[in-house]
Amino acid sequence: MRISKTMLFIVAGLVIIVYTSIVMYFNQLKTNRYHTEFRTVLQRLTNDNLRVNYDILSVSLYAYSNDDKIAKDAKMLTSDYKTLKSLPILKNRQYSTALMPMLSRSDRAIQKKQTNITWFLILNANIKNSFVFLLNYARKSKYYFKSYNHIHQQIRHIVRNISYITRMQDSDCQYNIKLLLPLQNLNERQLNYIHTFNMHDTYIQTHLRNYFITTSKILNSSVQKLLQNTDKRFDKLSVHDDEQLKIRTVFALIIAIIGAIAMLFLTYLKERDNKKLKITKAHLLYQSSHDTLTGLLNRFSLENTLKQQQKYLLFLIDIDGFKHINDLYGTDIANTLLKEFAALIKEMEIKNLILSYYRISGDTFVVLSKPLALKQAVHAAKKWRDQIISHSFCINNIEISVNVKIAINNTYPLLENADIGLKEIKLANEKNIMVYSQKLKLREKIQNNINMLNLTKEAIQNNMVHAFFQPILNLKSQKIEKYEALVRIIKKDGTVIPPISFLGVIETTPLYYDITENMINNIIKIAQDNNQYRFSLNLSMQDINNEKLMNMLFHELKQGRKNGANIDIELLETQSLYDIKTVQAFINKVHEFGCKILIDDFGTGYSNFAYLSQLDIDVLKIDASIVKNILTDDKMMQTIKTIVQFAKALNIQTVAEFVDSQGVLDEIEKIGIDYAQGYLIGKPSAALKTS
Amino acid sequence: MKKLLLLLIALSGFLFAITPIVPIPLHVKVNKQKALLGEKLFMDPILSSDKTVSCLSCHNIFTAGGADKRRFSLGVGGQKDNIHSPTVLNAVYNFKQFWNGRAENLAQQVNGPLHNPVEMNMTDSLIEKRLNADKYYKKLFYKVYKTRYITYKEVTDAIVTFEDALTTPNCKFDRYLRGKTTLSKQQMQGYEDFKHLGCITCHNGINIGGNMMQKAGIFHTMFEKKKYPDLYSITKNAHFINVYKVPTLRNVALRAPYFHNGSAKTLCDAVMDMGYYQLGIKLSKNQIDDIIAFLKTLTGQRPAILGETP
Repeated sequence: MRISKTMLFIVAGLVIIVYTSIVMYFNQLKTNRYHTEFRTVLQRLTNDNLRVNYDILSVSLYAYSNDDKIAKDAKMLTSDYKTLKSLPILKNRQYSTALMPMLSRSDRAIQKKQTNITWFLILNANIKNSFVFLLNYARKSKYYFKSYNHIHQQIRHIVRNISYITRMQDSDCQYNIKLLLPLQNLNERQLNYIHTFNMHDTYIQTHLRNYFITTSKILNSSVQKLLQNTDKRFDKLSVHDDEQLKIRTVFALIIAIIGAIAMLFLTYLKERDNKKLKITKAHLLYQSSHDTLTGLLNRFSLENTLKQQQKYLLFLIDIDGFKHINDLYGTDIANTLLKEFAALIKEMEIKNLILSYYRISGDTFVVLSKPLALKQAVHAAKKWRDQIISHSFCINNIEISVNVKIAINNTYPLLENADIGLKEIKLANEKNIMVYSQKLKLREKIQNNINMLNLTKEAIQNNMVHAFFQPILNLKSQKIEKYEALVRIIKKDGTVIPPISFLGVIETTPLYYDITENMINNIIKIAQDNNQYRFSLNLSMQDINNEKLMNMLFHELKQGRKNGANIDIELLETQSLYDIKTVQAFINKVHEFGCKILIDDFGTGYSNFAYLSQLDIDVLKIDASIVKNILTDDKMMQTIKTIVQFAKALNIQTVAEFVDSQGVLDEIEKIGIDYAQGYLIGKPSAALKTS
Repeated sequence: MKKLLLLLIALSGFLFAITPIVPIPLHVKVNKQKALLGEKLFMDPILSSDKTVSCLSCHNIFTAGGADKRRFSLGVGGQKDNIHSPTVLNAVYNFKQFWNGRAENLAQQVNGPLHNPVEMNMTDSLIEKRLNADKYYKKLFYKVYKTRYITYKEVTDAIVTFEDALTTPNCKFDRYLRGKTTLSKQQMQGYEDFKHLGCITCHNGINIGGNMMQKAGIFHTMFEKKKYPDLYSITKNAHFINVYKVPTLRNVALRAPYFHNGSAKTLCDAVMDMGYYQLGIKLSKNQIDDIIAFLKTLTGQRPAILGETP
């Protein structure tokens, strides 16, 4: 801001200087023009005056003349004077003060001259007429006066005298009026002659001096001198003016140069500041678009790029189990690993198609490439993965190997789809590389999950969570002795939603707790009402770890201590019961209430017999995957037999799940399984089935 | 070579000396549209206060040689002026306008009669008001001056342009000067007398007059002092009592009566008076006749502009 204001001042200053220079330049041009103009008109006026003088001489010389010229020239003298007086330079005070008095005197002199010219022309015409008349008249005298010699002499004398004086043009010449003297005895004609002669003679003699004086006044008028003086004075002024102008121009030039230098300097300063600002800006821009740890581009940058909606292919690379590495080796090493991993990622290339590399979150990287065939992309991803897996990161002398999962996607929204794909492979833990495709309906799955989540939430709020009970048959007594409580959501339209549809979805949400709590309440209630049967409740490791839930369960069991004895707990075997100690502590606790512990779905997942030896288990429920195949698969038969033998050895009762045919039922009876559960015995239902 | 040069110089001086009269140009260059508009204005009494008098009323270019057959012209309301209307024909060649030369040019002259209370008695604004109220004039002025509002300046400009065109070229004497014709013996004698008797000292130049001032009555008192507006009335210089502009002699035969006060009823009277008062000569009957014969050769053609149509 400071700089720009200064700049503004400088620019304004410069504008003024340049403006002043221009104005001065044009002023000088104007002044020069004015000077030339004045000189020209003054010169013209001087010439007019000389021309008039010449005309006067010329007119006085000839007996008769064309007076148009003098009339024109005299007029010109006045009109040129008027032009001179109205010249713009005389509006300048300096010039008008210096020149106007002189010009006013010139004006008066010119007017006087004009008057004299008028008077001169009047006299000139008449004197000449009379003179010519006298010359002609004199010649005729002999016709009038034949014998008057002295009259002839007088006439000759007078005419010669006039002629002499006229030629001399001498105004100082003493001139005594000489007239023809009338004699006696003259006839009327003769007297008339004398009278007429004397009339013209008198006119000449009385006006001749005046004529000379007037002529001399015209020729010697002060006009010429005044014009010369004006010219001289004007010269002085204009020289002075020129010098002043030169000084001012040089001064303006110097100021302009200084101004220009100042502006250049300030521009330089501003430019320097700008450079700093640019660097800072670039730095900020870099920071905003780059990941500080690895130097790769960041998520923000990726999102910006993807906003352009151009065709890309996106590789989403996730480090497997990075959390463990972080926990195991600490943040420093994990960060170093990320840096080195980033360096490795950066070297990945597919025929110059790769556009950029990103780290978009902790351990997730993105490689963005130009569109290419998915096959090629998968090929490249495999190659990269091999490189990564085979690479040994050596940090602080610790060798770490990492595995990665790569999701490839070329359909918008690019990142989201790839993320869905990545989650999918992480969840399934089967593949390491996958190509996201609409056909996978992964998005629909997610939408379904969201729908299910909402439905579950609604169900919990509106008491739509119900317990269904599936009867369990005692194969020895052939009586229904137990029921497994299974959770169901019954929608308002009566549709029954099985737990497989929603439990997985809500597993990681607080809703899971609500469902379990709901089930506990349900089972406690039904167990109280039907104490001739046993009811089993499914619990997961997650439930057991949930202190609040457990407290609630224990509280309920304690409250109904008598009835608690007919409630069993089924532990889900598919989820690893990794925390043996906690599980055992739980078992001990519920055993106090007379509850039995069942292991559900035994024979799948991580099932191992080691559990059984470590935990106080009362019943094993053999998984459907084994039971349903015993008639067709000998291996399964052997497995079930082994499980039964093993259980019996440990005094653990067995339940066969998924008994759906009489054949299976007969077979498991033969093997010596204690209980049977399945559609053959009874489907799960809201009411207790007794047969 | 030198001799030849001297001869040439002498010859040129000689020629100059004996041609005190020059013919007027055969054609005048004026803006025709302006001149025709001026002609219309010149003849239109709209330019007088009671709409009775036009320029033409006192400067009859058709019948009176551009002057007035009446001794004194009548202005608005029948008022009588005290000076005889000078001719408007060839006025452009006069060095000054009016009898006493108070106007430097025709543009200044036009102001005089228009504003004179005993002549046309108008004001600038009244002229503008009248003409701007006239649709026809508005159209004409727009055509010529490209102006939506007629101002006094354009009015005088148009009239002056018309007057510039009022020249009467190709009179017999001009043709004689150009060598196109010869003068009769009498006319030639008249011209000789005109020169030798001294008429030419005042009546010379292109307009045969109109280029100088002269006192009326050199040898005898011709007029009562200060009765008419003379040069003295402007300058208050005693030399200029009864001093008037020498009038042109072109078309003089057409414009009786003569002199600034119209005191000479005929050309004969005028020539005789001039000889008596100005030259101090009693002209003989023959001389007068000869001079008149010469003066009649000064009658030129009608101004070309008068035959033009817009």
